[in-house]
Amino acid sequence: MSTGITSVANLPELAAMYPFAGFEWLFTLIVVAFTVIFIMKQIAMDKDESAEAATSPIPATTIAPAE
Amino acid sequence: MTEHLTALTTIFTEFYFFLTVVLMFFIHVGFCMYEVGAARTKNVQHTLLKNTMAIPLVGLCFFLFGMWIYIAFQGWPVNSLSLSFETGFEPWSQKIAPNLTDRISGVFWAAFALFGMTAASIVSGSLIERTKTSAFFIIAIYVGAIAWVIPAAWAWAGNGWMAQYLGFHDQYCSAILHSVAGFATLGVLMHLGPRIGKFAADGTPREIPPHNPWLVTIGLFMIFIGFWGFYAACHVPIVNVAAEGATPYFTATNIYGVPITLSGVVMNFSLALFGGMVTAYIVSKGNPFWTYSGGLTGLISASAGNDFYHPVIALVIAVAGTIMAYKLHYWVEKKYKIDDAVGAVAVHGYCGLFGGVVAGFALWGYPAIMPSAGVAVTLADGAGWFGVNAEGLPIVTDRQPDRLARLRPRLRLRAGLGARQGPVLARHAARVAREGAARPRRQARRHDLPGAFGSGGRVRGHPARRGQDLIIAT
Repeated sequence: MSTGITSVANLPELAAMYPFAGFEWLFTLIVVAFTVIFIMKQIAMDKDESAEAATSPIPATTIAPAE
Repeated sequence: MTEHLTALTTIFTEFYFFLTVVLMFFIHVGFCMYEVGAARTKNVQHTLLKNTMAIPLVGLCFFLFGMWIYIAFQGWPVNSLSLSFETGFEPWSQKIAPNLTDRISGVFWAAFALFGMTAASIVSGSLIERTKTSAFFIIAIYVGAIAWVIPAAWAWAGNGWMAQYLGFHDQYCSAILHSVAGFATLGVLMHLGPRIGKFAADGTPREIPPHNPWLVTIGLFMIFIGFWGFYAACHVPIVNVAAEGATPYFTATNIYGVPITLSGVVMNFSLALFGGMVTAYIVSKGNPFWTYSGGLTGLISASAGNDFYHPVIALVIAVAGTIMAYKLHYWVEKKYKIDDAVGAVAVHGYCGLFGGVVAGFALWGYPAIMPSAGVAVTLADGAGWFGVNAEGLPIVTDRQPDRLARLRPRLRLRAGLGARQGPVLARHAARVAREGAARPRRQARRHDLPGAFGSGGRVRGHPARRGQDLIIAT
């Protein structure tokens, strides 16, 4: 990897100073994929939990003193 | 301070650091709440006071010697063998008291003292319910005012020898603070043993739930807030970095004097936080402790280079660091029976080391420091063992692999000399120089090692970089 920046001698001419400048389209795709995976994982977790709740016996309800 | 521009930048910088100190204090509020919430009821008061008293204790030690170490050890023992007692941060210095000629030293000291308290607090949480208060205080002083300060002097200052000679880059202390505190914690935990009830008779680890999960939650949120201050305190907020006589160029800089934008830093901070939280949530299947800690694993993994990463690079590094920390935490716990009550070794130790190493690759070739009159960075003789750029500035890692291969044995030699035999060899070299004329030529050459300490304890300049001081001075 490289920032592509090897000199800071002429600061007024410098703009983007991060590694892989020019690959912003790829960065966007990565974030889109990350967000979609997160949502899909959440849906899967919810589904598993519902399935587990449906098959498990109902636990005895504990009532807190305030209730 | 009669000139308007100087007055404006100085007073702004003073106020900026003042605010970072206030913000950073939230880290300690957060650590207190977190650790108290995580402890079992019978140990709450001990946990609370142990953590609270680390703040003034580390602060006092930082006043006595911590800040002096940071300034005095920057070149020692590689480019200088002397330790100055005129750094301005000795307890008897007039600069750290109200003094109209110095508006920065006090706020700068406070920011560093808060870093030190943070390092001590990192250790504190992991040890809950098992340490004597006095024993913890000794560890707190060691970690908070000594252990992390020496690598900080070497690698977290433009004048530090690791920054100048190795191009080391660790802007927000992944390796030099978090990993130091994290691995110090691991060392203590290895000897301390687990909390009562942590492991079943067959060695299976048990979860010890926090006695107050809501206190843990709010505490971790507070730590997030404090981290904004921690990041802010790692900058010089406004300075003219142009060379003497050139058109002024005002900017914020990182700790090494290289221009950055706070705007970019905020983006990187946010994406690293988001990446860590989401990843921890997914890999832990919604465990609240890990979800909050994931914010920290993400941040600490990306912190070393978060001044120059693209936000998505920060996110990717945060994701990788978080997965690594989560897996490694449970593997170490199960295999070695280490009871890390708050996961500090994983969050700070593993992620800190990971972040420090990753930055060396991700920022390959970037100028490591930027000397200028404004940021007061001066290059030591022979800087840039990993190579220099066109202006003679040391760079983060080298872009030419063959140079790395050539440097490896030399680096090993220098590291060995610096860390262990440096002072002894330097004294010996001085004696050899005095007796030089009388000694056989061959014998004298044995001590004239490439890069070893020569006259006056200075590292000899690399032939390829002679004259760089002239370039810098212009």
